[in-house]
Amino acid sequence: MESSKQRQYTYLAEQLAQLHQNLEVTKTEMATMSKQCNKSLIGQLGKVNASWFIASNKYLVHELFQSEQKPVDSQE
Amino acid sequence: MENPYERQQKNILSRIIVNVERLNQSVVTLNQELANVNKKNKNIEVLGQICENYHNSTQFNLEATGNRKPPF
Repeated sequence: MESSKQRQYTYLAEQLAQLHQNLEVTKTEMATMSKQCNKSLIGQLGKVNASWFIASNKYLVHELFQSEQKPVDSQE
Repeated sequence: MENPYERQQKNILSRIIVNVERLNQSVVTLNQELANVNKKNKNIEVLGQICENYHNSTQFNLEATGNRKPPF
């Protein structure tokens, strides 16, 4: 009885050691993914594209406002 | 003295072992999928770097030629 329990405990210890190793790998992969998302997706692509959109919107509104003002000025 | 709960304990222990094995297998699958995702994201990383380089070079170019205008 005792030896089978011992074998079970030994096997469980091996499985838990493997689980610990696999979770370390998971931690590394998650760290890489988080770095990629924060640095590349948001920090580079997100910021640059968002600033292009917002800046072009502001510029076009400004241009439109100026062109609307010019006919009013010329009418006066 | 014989343990009266011997059989029960053995059963519980074997169930624990089976569940830990299943958990291990799931974590291995999770790791494989994460590795795939990271591999596919490498192209996006390069694209992000290209985007940033383009932005930096346009800013430098505008400042060097004196065409940089102040914000509205």
